Amino acid sequence: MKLARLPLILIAPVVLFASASHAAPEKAKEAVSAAAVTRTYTNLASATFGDALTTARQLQKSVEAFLAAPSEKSLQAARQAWLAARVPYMQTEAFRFGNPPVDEWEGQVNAWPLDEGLIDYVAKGYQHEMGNVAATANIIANPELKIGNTTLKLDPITPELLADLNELGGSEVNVATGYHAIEFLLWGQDLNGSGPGAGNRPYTDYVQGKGCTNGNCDRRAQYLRAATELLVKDLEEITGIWDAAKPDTYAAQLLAKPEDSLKKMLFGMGSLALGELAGERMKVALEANSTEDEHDCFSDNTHNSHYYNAKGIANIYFGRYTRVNGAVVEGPSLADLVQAKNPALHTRMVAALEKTEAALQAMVAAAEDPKSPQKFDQMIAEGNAAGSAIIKRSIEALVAETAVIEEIAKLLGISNFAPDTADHSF
Amino acid sequence: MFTRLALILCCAVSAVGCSPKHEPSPVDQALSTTAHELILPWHQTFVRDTAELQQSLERFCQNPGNPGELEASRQSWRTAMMSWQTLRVINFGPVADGNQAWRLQFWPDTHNRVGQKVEELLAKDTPITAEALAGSNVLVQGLSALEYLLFDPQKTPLENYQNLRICEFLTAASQNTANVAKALHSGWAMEGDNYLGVFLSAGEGNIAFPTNRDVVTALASAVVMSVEFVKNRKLGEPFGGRPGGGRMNPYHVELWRSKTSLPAMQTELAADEQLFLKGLKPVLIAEGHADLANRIEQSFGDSRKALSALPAPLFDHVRNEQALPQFQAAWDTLGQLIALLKRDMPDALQIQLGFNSSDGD
Repeated sequence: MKLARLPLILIAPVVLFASASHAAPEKAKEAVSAAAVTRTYTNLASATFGDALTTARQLQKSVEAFLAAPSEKSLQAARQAWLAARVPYMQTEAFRFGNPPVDEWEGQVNAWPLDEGLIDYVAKGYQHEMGNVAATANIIANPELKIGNTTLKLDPITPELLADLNELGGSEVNVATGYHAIEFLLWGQDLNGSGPGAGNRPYTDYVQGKGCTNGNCDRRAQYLRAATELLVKDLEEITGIWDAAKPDTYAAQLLAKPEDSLKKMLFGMGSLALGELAGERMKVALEANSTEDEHDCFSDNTHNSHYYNAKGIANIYFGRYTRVNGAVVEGPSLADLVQAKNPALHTRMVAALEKTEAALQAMVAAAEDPKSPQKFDQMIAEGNAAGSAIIKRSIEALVAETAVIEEIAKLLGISNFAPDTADHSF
Repeated sequence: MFTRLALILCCAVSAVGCSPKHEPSPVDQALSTTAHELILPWHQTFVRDTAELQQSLERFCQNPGNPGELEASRQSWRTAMMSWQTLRVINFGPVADGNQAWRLQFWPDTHNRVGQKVEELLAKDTPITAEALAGSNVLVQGLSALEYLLFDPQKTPLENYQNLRICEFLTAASQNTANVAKALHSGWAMEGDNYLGVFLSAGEGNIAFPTNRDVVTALASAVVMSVEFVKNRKLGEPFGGRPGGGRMNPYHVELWRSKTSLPAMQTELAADEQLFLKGLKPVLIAEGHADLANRIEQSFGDSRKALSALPAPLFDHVRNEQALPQFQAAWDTLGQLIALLKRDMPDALQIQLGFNSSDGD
């Protein structure tokens, strides 16, 4: 074991020297340190979560405006604000795996799929988790809820109450909070299966007094307000941990141990690419032709969520993030590190990231085609060969990208590197 | 067969000067044994058991009022499912081509997607044939759909099987399962697509396995992934992640309908152990890591014992507080095994586990 490692150590400086001399003619790359790369990583996290927070505050404003004067127009504005908030948030997910404070926090913010019957009325034929006692609890319709021997008071609906109710009855699919709960409250169930169309909740579900549809419009409005407020609070909290200027924050801890951070970066990138995005979010839905396993299933925004997930991975590699306001945050990156040590591997990583981007861009283009849009839930329909090919190309690109990420881990001397596959083999 | 013959010949002449470089290395020997004594026979058994299941269901469906034939079919299903539990550790080669595993078994399935899709198909009026199923979603194609039809509490009353469409489904799904089994076997067999040849001829020009170290990596990754699946999913999921985690749901038990969860775990772990003993242990020993090899073997034995101490069926005991210590002990024991396999073994074998392994906890 020890013997085997020794030659590697001997060889390493030679390789470094050789690649440095190759690189010299173009632009002398400054040798970047793990510390500098970690600094960029925490800056990127701070900016991306910061943007998620800013756009969630915009969402909150739109929701307040909608609740103050429900109309088709104000509902559309709130939906647009939700879609805009997803853009930075999905890019933050590359910071989730490998960073326990984010991964543990995530359940209240982006848990999915959810048994929406916990929250509000649902159509006949609603499929929920087996053995889930709260799957049809309908919090909005019930100021009190009896589960087993205990009676829960569900009035008024506050952010604190919703946080307590998340994972009610011990089930992960009892998602009372976060983006997807809000998505359900804005769009409603998508009852079109694999046909065209998203959820179609009428704005009148929020009309107070006469004109209220589906009952309990007051409690529904309370719920939407509380869930949005909680989302903003949660994002404030997580943005805070990435503040490297303050002592003892999570970011400060990472900066103190830059070598560990490289592993976290690559683990986060690989786990999102492979187990989560390619596996849980695409392969399951595709192979089972299951629209309930679609990520943004109420709003039909799944293509964008996938696209920005992949972009988040590339952001970390290149050490570069374009903020919602157009400003660019950048610095010494993994790319610089790899390029200095093994330019050929860097070239392959760039190609792999480009291939993923192109595959997901094709998914976005198909979903937003002005003439005949084909959303993700249509692509996964049984017998849709063209749609399934779009998804398969994305999966393949992500699998290949993860293989290169593993090579990079090897190059950087990270042992025992195994990204989370969520038990998917490809 | 050919490889073995060559071995014998070489050894026979070695006394009169067979050059040592022709002797197969311990790695090559271990891989050859693994292929001929485990991988191929496992596939053959699966072909046999799925064919028997198909025949058994055909017999039953000729007379769907016969409770004896129904019970015989259920027994054939159990046997075929256990053959699959043995085979599922082999996650590379033909099975990976087009995700064959999910066509046979789809799990975890917390939202009853299998039941949902089977019911949707039963409610249609298109003919249910093996060919039609092969082109459908994975949920309706194989052993999982058959489990639903043969064991779901709502399906099991004998009179339900008078419904012609259910029998049409049973025979079609069993035929499709048998077809998948045959295709997997043929993918490995020398007389078929001969993945065996790829597996045993690592070297330059072999895209799947440029060196025999890559074959060892594939085996090691397969064992690690399978043991982790047994621990994190089969044992962990019904408890919301880990025994003692406080979120118990018996419907998160694998194979809860047929109540074969515990034998399934034991069968899969036994296959992992076999693969380790024949494929990896000899390599560890040859490379000076006999101590680690023995510790892993011991740990497999401990895990086997820990599983055999669990109460069955798991479905009935997930909420049984008195059984919790046994569940936790099995969890910890499997955790120790995984630590050895995942932390110590890759260094000893000088391999990096590929992205076929998962992080677990």
